[in-house]
Amino acid sequence: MQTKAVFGIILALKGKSMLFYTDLHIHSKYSRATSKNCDLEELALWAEKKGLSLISTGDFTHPAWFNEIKEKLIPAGNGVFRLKPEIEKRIFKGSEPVKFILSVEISTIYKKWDKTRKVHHVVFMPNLHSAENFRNKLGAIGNINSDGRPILGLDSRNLLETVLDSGEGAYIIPAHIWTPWFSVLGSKSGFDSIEDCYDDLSDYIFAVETGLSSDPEMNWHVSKLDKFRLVSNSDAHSPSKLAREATVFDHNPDYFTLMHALKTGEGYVGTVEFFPEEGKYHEDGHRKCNVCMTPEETKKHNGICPVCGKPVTIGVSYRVNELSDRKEIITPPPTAGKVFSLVPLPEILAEIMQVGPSSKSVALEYERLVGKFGSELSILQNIPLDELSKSSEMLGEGISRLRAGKVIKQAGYDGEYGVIKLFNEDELVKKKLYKSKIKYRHS
Amino acid sequence: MLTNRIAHLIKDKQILPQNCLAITFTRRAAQEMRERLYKILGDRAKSIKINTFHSLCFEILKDNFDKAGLSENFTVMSDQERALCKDSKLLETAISFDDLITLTIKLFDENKDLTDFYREQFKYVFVDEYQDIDLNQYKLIKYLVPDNGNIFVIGDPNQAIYGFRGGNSKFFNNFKEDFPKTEIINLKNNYRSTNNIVNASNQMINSYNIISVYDKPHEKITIHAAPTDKAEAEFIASTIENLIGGHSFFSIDSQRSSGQENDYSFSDFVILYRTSTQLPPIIEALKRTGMPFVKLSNDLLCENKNVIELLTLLTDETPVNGQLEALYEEFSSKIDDYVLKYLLNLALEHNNKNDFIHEVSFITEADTLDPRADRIALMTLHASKGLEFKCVFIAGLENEILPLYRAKTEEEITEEQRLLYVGMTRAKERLFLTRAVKRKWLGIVKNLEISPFLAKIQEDLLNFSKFEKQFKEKNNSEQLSLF
Repeated sequence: MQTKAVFGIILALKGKSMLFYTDLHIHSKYSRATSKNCDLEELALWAEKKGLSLISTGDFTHPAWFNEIKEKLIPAGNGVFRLKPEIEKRIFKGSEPVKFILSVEISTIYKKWDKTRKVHHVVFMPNLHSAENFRNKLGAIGNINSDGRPILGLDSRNLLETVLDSGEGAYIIPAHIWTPWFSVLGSKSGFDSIEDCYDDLSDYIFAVETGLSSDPEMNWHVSKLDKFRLVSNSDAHSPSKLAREATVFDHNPDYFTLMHALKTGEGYVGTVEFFPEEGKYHEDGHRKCNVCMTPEETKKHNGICPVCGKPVTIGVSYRVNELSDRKEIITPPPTAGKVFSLVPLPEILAEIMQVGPSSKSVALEYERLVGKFGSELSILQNIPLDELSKSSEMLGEGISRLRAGKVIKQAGYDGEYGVIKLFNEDELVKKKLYKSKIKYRHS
Repeated sequence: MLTNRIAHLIKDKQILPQNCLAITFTRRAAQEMRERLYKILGDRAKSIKINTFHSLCFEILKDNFDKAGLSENFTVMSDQERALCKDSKLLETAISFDDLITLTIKLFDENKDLTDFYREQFKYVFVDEYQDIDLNQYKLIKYLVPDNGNIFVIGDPNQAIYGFRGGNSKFFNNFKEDFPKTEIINLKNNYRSTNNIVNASNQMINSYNIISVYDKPHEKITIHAAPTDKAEAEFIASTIENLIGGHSFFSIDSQRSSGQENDYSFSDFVILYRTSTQLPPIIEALKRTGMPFVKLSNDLLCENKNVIELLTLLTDETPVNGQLEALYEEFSSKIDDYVLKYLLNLALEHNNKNDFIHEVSFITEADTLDPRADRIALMTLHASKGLEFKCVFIAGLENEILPLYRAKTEEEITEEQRLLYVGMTRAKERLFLTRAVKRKWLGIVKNLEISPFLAKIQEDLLNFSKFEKQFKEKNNSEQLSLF
């Protein structure tokens, strides 16, 4: 695209180094509760709109998805894949085509030390042969045919062993490590440390995923996480949700340079983050009882819901507090990267236009802006504000507040997404009847 | 119980481990006992003999092959293996599983000195599941243990379920006459199940000599009537999903699961059924959920017709693993990949054809699965004997299934009742008894009556789940309108 090239030059002139965005944890249409159009072409198309240079395939253990991968992707060297030329030509008209790496999320449910553990892991494979090995091994462990994110009754340590045995360069990154129900440090069914979970093989873990409900700063409160590089990914269940979080590099990575960057920090820049308040498990409470409490309030109530009298779902913030050993002012550990806190563009447009983020008018405006400026991430991060203001004054103002971190936050809890706003309600053009609350959620 | 007694005798009474012989009903039970004894006694457990009737006889015959009139390298073949074997020499030296016991009895009958030798060696004999032994096993025990010998058996006549293949609880009931100095210890405490489960099982079988040691109020037993067999399977699968606490974001977000309280993993669940014809809808429902499960049966791998086909293609000429690799592609569509992989690995150790087939003939499909992984277990009521699970589902509580249509005589019907008793008492915490109002059974769609065994359980122990309630109400209203 012409425009993109032009802005590339502008950025270069400004002396900023080029950033490369990746999204390493996504799902296909073969996972439960995912969008029907989650196929490789749609994912590639949306990756381009978002401004991603590399995404993962997700779900490669699923037989139908694995076939689709083998049918439509070709190895492009160093552990990355690209769409076959004839498909690429249809999607990428002149822009750099997105690359893929093989990954799958695995859920393990098992007992350890008399407690049921439920942990999600993102598994990465450097080539089809290792992926095939891994699929074969899982076949004797559980059912990989019905869900793109298989559920196994296997100890996480043994899953890691199976991954490592599948081929040189195969890895696990623990997924959304703070989620209460399904993660390595989750309050409901996780552990108190990465080492308790992966046992003697813990040294093979070098990166962890922050998840939507936590940001790097929250993780820096826990010193035993210092040694792990933080990654952020969308965990998208539909293509348009790609890149809502992302991991950023200073070079266009392949599988091996990416893993090397996560192991050593060479080439790792940082992460694109949700405001953690927007995640569905940031604070504590009960969705059904309409009760949302901060960790301090929860402590005051002894963890009991004032409406129904049952224990509340403990959110990420509380859990981080629980494991935190740094109460003083936080300085980032040496492994830390840069943090880019963003709000997805459709949500900003929805707020300005006072309609739902998946409404048609938002979609049209989104397409117009992306067409004009190149990609969503560049609109949110680097297009000069005056350029944006020329296109839409409200957008320019909104993005300027976003880049300055001046946002209004309403925290998510117990599975309910939080809300991040850029404007006070009286600032907004009243296109429709005045709404007291902007109600929308992600699918 | 039996394990603890052996451990006690060795640890506290200075009995020599090599003088102990424990006989269990299955290889699995023998294996479990060995593991538990190792935990308590350490290396001293090594010299305790723990066998099934078959493996015990096999060892005795091997040690005395000449006197038993067998060749030194005799083998045991299942009928399946025999059908596969084309080696006439091997067939000549092979005996059947039934032969193992009858030949041993014959050996003892003809060689008084041998009988004395083994009586001297096994001064302490322990037999589990004594209510299920048959006449030949009984004879064998009588040879091994003199009238004044030291024998310790455990049995529960309420759990006698092998009448159909010769098991007879009269041997248990006559024990005191066989061994006059017997001391009888009645175990009335059940340490496994909640009081609701124990009480309901007692009522069902009309026998009240067992009580639960847990006397606080517990979860009631759920009786669920589903409209169809598919809905019954769906109920089972979704209930497990709920109890696991929602294993995916999806279940929790859509509030299918409260995600609270329970601390279950997959191996805490078992689904029991009377016959494997009940299985297809259950397997289908479980597959849809993506939860891992395994059918634990005593069905051998070599009873699967595709495996038989593969085995018959093997020849003596080249190593087996090479042959298997060549056949891999052809069979990958017919036999599960992990089974083929398992066979390939096995062939690396047993590369000679007869050797390989002999190994395969003992393997069940479950043996080929990775033992490190937890799974929901599926098995017949018969196979559940001696096991325990936190949550038990028994499917198909309908007349013609439980009792099975084949049971006609009083004796056969009470054995079916005991079979249900065995199944119910496997549960530690939760018990679900399910049935279908309409089901495909023996090829046609039928409306089967509720199992008569359930009528004996008092209602205050039961919790009728949703559909059952609606169904009952509907029935009542129909009756009312008749008047």
